[in-house]
Amino acid sequence: MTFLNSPLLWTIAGAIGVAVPVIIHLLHQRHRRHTDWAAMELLRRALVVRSGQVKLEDILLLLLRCLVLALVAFALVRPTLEDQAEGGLLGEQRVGMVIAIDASFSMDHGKYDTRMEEARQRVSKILETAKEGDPITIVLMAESPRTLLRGANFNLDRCNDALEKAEVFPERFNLERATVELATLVDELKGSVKECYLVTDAQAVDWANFSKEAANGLETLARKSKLFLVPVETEGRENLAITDFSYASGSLGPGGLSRFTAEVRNFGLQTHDGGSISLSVNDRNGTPRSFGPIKPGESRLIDFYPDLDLSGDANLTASLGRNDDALAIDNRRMASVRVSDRIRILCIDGEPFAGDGPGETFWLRKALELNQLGDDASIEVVVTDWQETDPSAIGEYDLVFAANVEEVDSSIARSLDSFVRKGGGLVLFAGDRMDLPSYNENLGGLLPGELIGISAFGEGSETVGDSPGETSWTLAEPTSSHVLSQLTRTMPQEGRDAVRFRKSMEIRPDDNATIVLSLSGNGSPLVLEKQVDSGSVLFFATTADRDWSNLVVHPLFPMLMQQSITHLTNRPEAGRAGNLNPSESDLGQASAESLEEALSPLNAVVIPIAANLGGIVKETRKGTEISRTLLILALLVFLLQGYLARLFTNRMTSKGESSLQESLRKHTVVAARRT
Amino acid sequence: MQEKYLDTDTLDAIGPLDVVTRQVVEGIRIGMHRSPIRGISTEFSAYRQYVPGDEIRHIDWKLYARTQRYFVKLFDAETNFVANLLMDASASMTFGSGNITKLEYAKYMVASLAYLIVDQRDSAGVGMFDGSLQRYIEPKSTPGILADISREMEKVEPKPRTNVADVLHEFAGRMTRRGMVMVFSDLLDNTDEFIKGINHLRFRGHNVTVFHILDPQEIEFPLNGVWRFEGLENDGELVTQPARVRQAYLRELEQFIGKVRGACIKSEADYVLVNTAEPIESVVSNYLLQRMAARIR
Repeated sequence: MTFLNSPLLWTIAGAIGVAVPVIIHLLHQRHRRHTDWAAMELLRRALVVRSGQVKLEDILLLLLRCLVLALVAFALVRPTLEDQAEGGLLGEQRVGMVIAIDASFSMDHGKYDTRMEEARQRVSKILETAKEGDPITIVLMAESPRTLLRGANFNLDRCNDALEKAEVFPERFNLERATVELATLVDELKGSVKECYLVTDAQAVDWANFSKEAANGLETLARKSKLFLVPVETEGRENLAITDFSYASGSLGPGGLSRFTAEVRNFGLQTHDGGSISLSVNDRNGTPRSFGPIKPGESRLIDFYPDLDLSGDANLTASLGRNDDALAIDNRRMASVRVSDRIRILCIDGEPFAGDGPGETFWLRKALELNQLGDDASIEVVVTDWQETDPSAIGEYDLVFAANVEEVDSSIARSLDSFVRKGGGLVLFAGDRMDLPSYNENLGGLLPGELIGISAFGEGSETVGDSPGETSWTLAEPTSSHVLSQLTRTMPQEGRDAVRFRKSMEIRPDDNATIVLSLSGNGSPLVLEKQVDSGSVLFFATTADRDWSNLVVHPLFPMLMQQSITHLTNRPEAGRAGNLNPSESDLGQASAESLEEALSPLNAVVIPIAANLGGIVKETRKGTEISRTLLILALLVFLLQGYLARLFTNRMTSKGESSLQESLRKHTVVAARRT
Repeated sequence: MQEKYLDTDTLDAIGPLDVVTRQVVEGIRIGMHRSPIRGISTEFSAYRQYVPGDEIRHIDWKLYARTQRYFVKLFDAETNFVANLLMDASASMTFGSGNITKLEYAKYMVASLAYLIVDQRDSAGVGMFDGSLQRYIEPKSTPGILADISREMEKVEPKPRTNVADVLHEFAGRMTRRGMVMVFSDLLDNTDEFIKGINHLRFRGHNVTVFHILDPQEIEFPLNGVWRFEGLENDGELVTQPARVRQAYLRELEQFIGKVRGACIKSEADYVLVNTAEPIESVVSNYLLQRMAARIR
């Protein structure tokens, strides 16, 4: 026997309920009223006749009243006889169903009928087993759930209307989240039988090896309800999809050259003959690019160099040409970037009167103004002395570079903080003039970590691993997915090793900071980035001149500076949102056998496509709720105790009462007839 | 009337009715009642032929002269009667569920009847008893006795345990002439002994009326819930649900009333069941009407 409502809660309620008449009885006895009485002898004689009987009657009434409340409490727990197949006289079978339909975009596959159409038909079969009044929940499951019906009493027309609204979303099927949501919906159902149906195309990517989280979720679902997996399928699984399309490198300014890469993947079982892919910028179609045959499971990268002459936001869409696969939704992919026609950069010079050789701003200006000519230059660099920096003017620039600035006072710090949070980019270079406490205190919210101090090569254990005779560090192998890291990785190893660092600023990174580049040997961070609201801060743990390293005279330096400009002002990575999850493009389905094997520990039922769905459902459906019977029983006991109470109280009928009164009236005056 | 127990409204309501006794009793005063003692009155009633033993002075000599026969003149003597009103003042009479206790009610009745009796120049005396005769006011026909009755009744202090029978026996011995005895009591005592007392009074030729005074709660027993009943006569307490024993109680009451009433009828005493919920004048009027009706029959 199981209970549809919390047994503990209702047992407590029932116990309280049963205690009520007992307490009332005791209080009733305790709070008796008092009166003086003259006719004690008459009363005593009446009691002799009735007292024993009264006690028995009291106990009987008390027991019956307790029984009424116990039965009601038991009925409220809604006990269910699990082995009872049909309602019959004993109770009723109320089936609560949660029907979850996979609404990920793979369900749109199909040349004729889509998988979603198949799913609707399968759901209709399930609904044929429901009775009027059964609580039904229909929910679409993709990345997040969309409820079509929630705990509604079954009505075929209403259910069909809801099914008509079932549609596919450009999302993946999130099995982990789905199980959690479904468990909640199952809990809401009130029925002697609870069933949960997962109507899905059972993609192998989701179902062949589901995660531990998903397994736990399914186990919970199977514990709370009878779990059915209802697979649907369509003919064929050939599918060519663009799985990635993104900015790769280059300048996004007017006249700059940028590279975008599209990845085309063959998810089918047969080699694709090849085709074409075209790129449109703001709906202006470019020249299609062809690609050759792609084997099953393989990908092809295709580069595009779009013409981004116009400033403003640019929407780029890569689309496959004519393609005969049955899933069109994944044949295109989008990216968006912001193209700026003019970028203003403020360079704050922390060492304006350096005696020997060019200072930091000299090298920075060279790297930032690369290939910029006269008035047509899209990048404007303004250099200022750190002591003459106007805090109120910072907001007029797109980027701020600060090199070896000695101190950051609170007014500058506030301006920089506001500037970054509104979307500006801040690039900081280290140097031996920096007053670290003032940085940590005033720029703590912007720095990607706490500045500790300057370390020089050969002063500590950082030399471990370096070759004997080495006098400086080199760049460590770039491993981050950050655009600057990827850019560095494009440079040959020999070229990277030519960059030598004698000193660096030690920094303890924050948790939300990204380490872009590191030094070899001690592994200390060289370049870090921290996102602060809409803007970001790049920190270089070396100088922007030749004091600590030869980076500024290495070809990598202008590349890093140019890429930093693009990265901080155009943010091409942000334009990837809204694209499809490529894993859904793999239409391969888990076999019924593998599903049964995977779900057998959960006692779940996999209903093969060819099987009689309605028959299997009805055959496995067991459970009868007996609360109605209990309530009827409680009512009968209640009526019985009411009848007995009336009987025991000996309330005289009007006839009996009038008879006694008449008798007393006749006796009122009797005048004796004397002889 | 200024006395507490002589309520003007009550007396006005009873006023038109005379207290009429069924039997002619002898009296020391000439009143409006017929007497069996012929020859004392001057009012001629009838002639009867002389028989030996008749007093010579009653022979009508004029009629002898005309008829040559001896006839004796008979006269209806007008007498008054003595009424003794015995009121139970035991603790059980202090019970009252409404505005008035049985004792208070009895006091009003006694005072009202005493007034009516004295008003027609008959004599009324009042006795108040609990275990024994507590106070007794000798019968008089002067209006001043009404004030005495009222005053004495105010002094009554109820005590437990009524023994009506002893009081009735005592009265039977005390009253030398036949008269009227009215008993006002709830009779919650030994019924058999009470009946013996009534028989004793009747044996002595007294005209007895029993006013059986009960409270409406005692008659109807309409209580609900759990009640603790504490006896007024030091007879303990009982806890019960009245509704559950009501029927049994009413049966006992009916039997009790029936027994007292039956004994009264058997002894040729009048019996009046008084419900203190009813107006006193109504009860008294009803009683007098019943008595007149019985006289006419």
